[in-house]
Amino acid sequence: MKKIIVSTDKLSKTYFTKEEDFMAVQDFSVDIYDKEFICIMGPCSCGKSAILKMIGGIEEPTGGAMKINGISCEKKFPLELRKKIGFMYQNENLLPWRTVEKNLRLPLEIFRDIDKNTPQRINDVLKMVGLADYKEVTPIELSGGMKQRVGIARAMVYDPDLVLMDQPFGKLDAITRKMLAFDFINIWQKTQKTFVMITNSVDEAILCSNRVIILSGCPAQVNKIVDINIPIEQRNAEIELLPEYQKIRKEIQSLVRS
Amino acid sequence: MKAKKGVHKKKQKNILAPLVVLGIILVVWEASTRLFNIPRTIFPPISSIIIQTIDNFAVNIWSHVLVTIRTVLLGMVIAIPLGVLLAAVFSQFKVLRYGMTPIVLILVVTPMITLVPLFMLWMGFDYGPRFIVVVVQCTPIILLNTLTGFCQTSSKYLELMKGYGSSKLKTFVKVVFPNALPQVFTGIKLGCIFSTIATTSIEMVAGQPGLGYRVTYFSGQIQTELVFGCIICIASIGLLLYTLISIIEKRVVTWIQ
Repeated sequence: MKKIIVSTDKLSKTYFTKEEDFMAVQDFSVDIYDKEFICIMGPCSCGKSAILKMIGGIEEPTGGAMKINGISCEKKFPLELRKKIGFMYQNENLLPWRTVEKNLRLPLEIFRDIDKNTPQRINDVLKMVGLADYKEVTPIELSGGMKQRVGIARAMVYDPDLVLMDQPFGKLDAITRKMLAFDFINIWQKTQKTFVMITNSVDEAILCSNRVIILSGCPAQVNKIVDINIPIEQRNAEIELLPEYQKIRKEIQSLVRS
Repeated sequence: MKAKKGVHKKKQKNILAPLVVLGIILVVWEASTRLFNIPRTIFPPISSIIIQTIDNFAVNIWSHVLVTIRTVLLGMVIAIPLGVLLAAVFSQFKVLRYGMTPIVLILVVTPMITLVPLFMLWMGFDYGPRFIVVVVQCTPIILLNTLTGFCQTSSKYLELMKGYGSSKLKTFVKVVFPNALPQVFTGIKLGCIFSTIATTSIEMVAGQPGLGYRVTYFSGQIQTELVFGCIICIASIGLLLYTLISIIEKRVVTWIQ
């Protein structure tokens, strides 16, 4: 029996504003297993980020229950859990006054996880995303793709078990997207972590993940969960030639459009 | 990385252009005062201002320059940390922030020169405590700008720190404060301007010593060249202080272009 990392039960999120109450997420019930690569897709951008942020302990759910690693966390999010979850923001969210290296140090400083191995850890994770030479550079000197990669590195520098990514390729051009998508699969394979990624690209979702959660419109609810039964060896540049690929693609596209 | 040649050219233009304008002003000043035979008691030519000021400098002016500088610097050295500290405290308590802002605003807009007679009543004519007036005039403006900086931290940075379960103190030190530095420096630069105004105001009203006092003194003596000379000294002090802060700002605030 595979281990369940994240288990949500009727998770919901309502935003209370002066004008009206806005329900972004409704009855989100999903189990995410260890070492999975999950993609979340859906129409408007209202509910998807909220779901990821609830799982990441960045926003509090207004209803429902949630367990991560078996620990109940819908009311209070334990610090120990935060150290096991890495979050990558849609807008990369780097601190502009810190160099790349210092940006990576930030979570380690807060978790008090600094020791003599820290510089090596930072070097290793930067090498993994291909930015080993950019330690002393500030975000303002980086391109959009590089900033996203720093974001990934920062999400993984403290070796979390669960990596959450909110549209990591959102601001990138098609070529960089493809390149990073392949990088992601490699990193996932190598590190054996659980990845949950929000994306708006059907091709990326099929390429990277083993299951795709498709949400309906606002408020976001689970429409269908599609299994991607393509073995890892075939997830390469020729994946689109597979008939299985085209079949799944049609299915997901029709679901997303509805 | 950067096109070095382009930056060099820009720096040259930045220094050259003001110098050229200054040169033109000085030439026009000298020429018109001589040409139109304007009496030296009303508007002396720049050459005689410079000569007279240098002649009288050591004896009649230098000691007052030092007094003015002392008041300005002492006032600023206290006003800057005080303003920043108070802003840090106010930013944590909404009640304080909303309650105190109107009072701080009143202190900013009230010219200290109107309060100098009161200060003299409380502290006497001696020049020792005069820096207190500078502190009272400058702290509010530094406080106001810094407070705005602290309270306008981008929500995405706060979200980032919340995700790490950061304490309020850590968030303040690592994110809120560095993020506010541009506004802190704006406040300090405004404080510099206010400090010379406040110092000169006190000196003109309360009397010796100080450059402000010397301006009224030389006016009374109809030594207009020296009046101008003292004004130029005061302006130079203000300019030097402002430039110093700007240089520090360029070194510290590197992420805004």
